[in-house]
Amino acid sequence: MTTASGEGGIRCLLVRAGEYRCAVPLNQVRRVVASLATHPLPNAAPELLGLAEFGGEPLPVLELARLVGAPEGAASPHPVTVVAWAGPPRERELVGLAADQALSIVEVPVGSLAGGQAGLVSGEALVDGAPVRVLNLEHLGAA
Amino acid sequence: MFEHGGTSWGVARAEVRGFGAAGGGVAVTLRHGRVRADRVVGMLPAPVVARPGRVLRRFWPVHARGLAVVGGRVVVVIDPLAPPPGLAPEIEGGADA
Repeated sequence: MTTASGEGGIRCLLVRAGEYRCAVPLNQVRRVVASLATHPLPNAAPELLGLAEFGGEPLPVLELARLVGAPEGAASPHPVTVVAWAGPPRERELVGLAADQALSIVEVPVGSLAGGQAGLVSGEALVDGAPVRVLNLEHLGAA
Repeated sequence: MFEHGGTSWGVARAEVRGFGAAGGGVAVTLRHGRVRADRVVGMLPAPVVARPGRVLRRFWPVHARGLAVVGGRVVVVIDPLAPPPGLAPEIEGGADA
């Protein structure tokens, strides 16, 4: 995975999605904005909330909690859309990830990643004593 | 351009033969079939249409010509020969305009 790593760590945006905390590598984040209005598409997968407009371009917005299988959490007064790069570096495209709350910027120690997978969730780590799902959006567009 | 189900849809002007009331909505008659709409917005200048990206195609595996943004609204431009199943008319009838 391409990382925004410093001294053995991956700098990430930490967000809450349902009852999970997820870390999105900063080099895959373009911007964090207040929750974008979406327009639904018929027959879409449940993860796809719909299409939004961002910077004059159409943006598919996915519900992060569904993507990672998070149980539903408390409603947030400040939901956000994380506008992020998805797909392999040479074919990357912008997507929106709807999350319940943007929490902070954290550094996830590479050595602490457990349960490494080749999918959207590349592993889990402990941040401030609580588990965090570390994402790798390069796999988001893969079949 | 027309609206259905909270989404804006577009079809090439040359493909539209007419539209008329059908049930509680509108039936748009195309050269090779019909689609249903909640409301016809009107004719627009040809927008810049971008192909749907890989992520969208994965989560919405429905054929479409592409996407455009018109006046801040996202418009899904359909293939008139293969409109999305969600636009299939449920109610036959409706006079051509």
